[in-house]
Amino acid sequence: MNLQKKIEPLLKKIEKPGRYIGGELNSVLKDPESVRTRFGFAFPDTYEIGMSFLGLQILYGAMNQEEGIYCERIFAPATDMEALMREEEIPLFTLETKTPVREMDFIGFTLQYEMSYTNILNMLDLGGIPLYANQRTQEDPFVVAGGPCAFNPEPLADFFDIIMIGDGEELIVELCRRHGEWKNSGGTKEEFLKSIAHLPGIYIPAFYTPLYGADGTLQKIEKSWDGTPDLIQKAIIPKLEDTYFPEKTIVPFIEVVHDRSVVETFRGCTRGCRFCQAGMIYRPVRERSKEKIENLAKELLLNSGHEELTLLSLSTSDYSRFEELATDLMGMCKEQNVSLSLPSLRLDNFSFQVLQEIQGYKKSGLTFAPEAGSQRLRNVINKNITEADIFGSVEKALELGWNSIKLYFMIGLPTETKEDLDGIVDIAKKIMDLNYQIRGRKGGRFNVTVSVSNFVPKPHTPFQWFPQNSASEFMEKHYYLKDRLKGVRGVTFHYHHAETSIIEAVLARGDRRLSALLQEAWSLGCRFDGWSEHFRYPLWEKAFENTGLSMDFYAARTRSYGEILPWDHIDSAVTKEFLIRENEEALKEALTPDCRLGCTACGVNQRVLCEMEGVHE
Amino acid sequence: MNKYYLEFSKTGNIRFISHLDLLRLFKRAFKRSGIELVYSQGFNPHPKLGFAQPLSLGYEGLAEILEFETVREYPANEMQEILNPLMPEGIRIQKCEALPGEGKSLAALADGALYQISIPIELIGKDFSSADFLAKTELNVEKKNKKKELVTLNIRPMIRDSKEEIQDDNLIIHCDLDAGSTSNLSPELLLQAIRNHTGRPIPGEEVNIIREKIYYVNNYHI
Repeated sequence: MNLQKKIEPLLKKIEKPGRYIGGELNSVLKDPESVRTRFGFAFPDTYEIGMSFLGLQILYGAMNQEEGIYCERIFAPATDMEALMREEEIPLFTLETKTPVREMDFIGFTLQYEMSYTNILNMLDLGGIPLYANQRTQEDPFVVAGGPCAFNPEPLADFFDIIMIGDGEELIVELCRRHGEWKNSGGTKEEFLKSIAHLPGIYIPAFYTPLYGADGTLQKIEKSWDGTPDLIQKAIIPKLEDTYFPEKTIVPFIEVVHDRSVVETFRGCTRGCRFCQAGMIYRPVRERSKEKIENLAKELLLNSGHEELTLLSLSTSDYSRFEELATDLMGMCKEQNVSLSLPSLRLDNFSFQVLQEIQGYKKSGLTFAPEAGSQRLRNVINKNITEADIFGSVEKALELGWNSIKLYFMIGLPTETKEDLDGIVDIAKKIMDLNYQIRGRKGGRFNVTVSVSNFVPKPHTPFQWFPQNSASEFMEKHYYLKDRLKGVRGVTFHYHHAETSIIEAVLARGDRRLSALLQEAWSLGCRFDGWSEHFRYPLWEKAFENTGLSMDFYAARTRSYGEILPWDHIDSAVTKEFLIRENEEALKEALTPDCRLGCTACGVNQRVLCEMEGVHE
Repeated sequence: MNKYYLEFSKTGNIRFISHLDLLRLFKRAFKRSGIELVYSQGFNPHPKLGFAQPLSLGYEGLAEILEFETVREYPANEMQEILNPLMPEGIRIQKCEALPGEGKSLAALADGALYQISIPIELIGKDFSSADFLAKTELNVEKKNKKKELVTLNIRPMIRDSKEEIQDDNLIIHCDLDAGSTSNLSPELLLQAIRNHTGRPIPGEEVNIIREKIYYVNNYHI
């Protein structure tokens, strides 16, 4: 069924109708009758956000290059469009062919951030698909998920038939291929699930039942079918070099958050920051060759007409041939009137040269992420940046004429005290002082922005056992900092809503009982919780009350090493022993070096070759 | 100077992208085509191309005009052939021709446009006639000015001509309106005047507006 005729009249009544029209450059049109498997790739947020996500472009391209598969896109309609769709009884549809999503074989949600979870329920509901996997029939699509939050999928587990853990670009194609075969065989859905349960990266939540003790903690995860593995290993692509990466990406008509050509230079990170989930779950580091990256960049620009190119990884400057790569790309971009943007540079002499060259007079501002205000606390979190590094770079930046410095910190980190908060203020003050020293009192406009986020302990990190600060503790700290920074001229202070961070923490480390909470929050009207203008904390409080669940149990409780954690059966390839060891080192305020300097025995090389271990030994 | 213009149509779903979106679309198409545009000098160079008149989001256009400047001479018909396959569904380049190197831009010369406003008869009523409407010396509508204050505006002098015909269940008003930098009348305001005149609400989403043609000062032709 094509809903085009029904959708069109709505487009004249809503904001940004270009979100819903499809038909962009490099989007794919196939005859749905000609394929065996139709996959609806669902991004649980608006078009502008989803279209800025590289993972969508990778998986869309990987699936659509297969003859038997047609992948289309699905986004969360904005609230104005949702209201009209409900009024006119128009179900959620795919952008490419305007097909109702329930006609897909798969609807695959990407789990990028916890605060998008209620949108998932809303999208299923708008699609006319029963929310719970066990309510769906043979005729309904398989509802599947992947992405970083899939490493603890438990709060959503009851809503999904299949969850994919780890690198997705090969696994998702394999899933669709097997689905095509199963479809031909005419088997039941359960037969399909059983036939794929053993694949690395595949988790079928229905085959696992969590059992809880009287204190509310998890006692056991029972398997309901013997054939399913005890531990779900994440899917790992050992080498990225020959793995699919799109040369043609969809180019949106309308303005989106990031609209540019993107090349992923490497996956994984060797730095080992103890709060960072991405740094743990994307191990090991796998690089693309410089030649490959440059070719991809060339093709992407040619096929999109983009005016901007950027590189994606967890730490741009850590690429092993970064200087050569940056030099080459700068030359290429200049020739083509394309601007190059390089995020998260480590600020050494070379980076300054690069920035001078690519930013010219614009100098958008330099960003540092010390994350913590004191050396002691930076040791705790294993963030290997010193004040000497920061001030050295700031001095250099001031000499080169930068007018704005941004600083990122987290509050509520393990072992944090008032002194650590004072450290944040001191860093900002010292930077202002440096400005006066170098450029004098009348040296012109200069400002420092201090942004503080609230620490959310994440699963699969050394801090996964740690209790989060309460909302009132966070707020006290916000006021404390605000007070002390108020008097410092030229400093702007930003902080995040404490309440959002609490809900994020609940969902990040939640268990399967939270499906009831999510359903209740959604029924009460929660959606777009990641948007401050839509987030409604009182509704979440009410949802907790109505379901009898405790926020503190999930967010503010210290877990013991012995406790079975809801995500213990998901194997990130980093061992629990490593996480415990790192947590202990944190408490001793001891640094663990970058694993390029020597293997730190996280466990990932037991599964797959780790190219970077000890390369600088 | 190598100046050219493209005449193109914008119909179907693509009418839901804005003027700026369309400009970006053409910039990118030129980048992909290999046709080298002249870039402005300065710190933030941008290619020299622009529309004769912006077209509002939601309107279809049958003969929209984009003018541009290239670094060297290109055969105009070849550019049309190169660019057309790079266009999305709904954008069709109908013509590409050279412009005289000197003189004002088309955007500066544009001063009027022919629109088709299609309204379901059940909403506008059977007895509507442009002649009655045009016989008036004043047609006042309320409009927000740049300071966002409501002001009353007489739009009658900006309507050059108007006639209507019936097609199926719709009344189609063909009207020539001022459309340029000195005087500009949005069909939205004309529609507002029709609402005032007929006393019927006529919801905007039921109305289809198409721009057929753009006119230039002193009967200038391109």
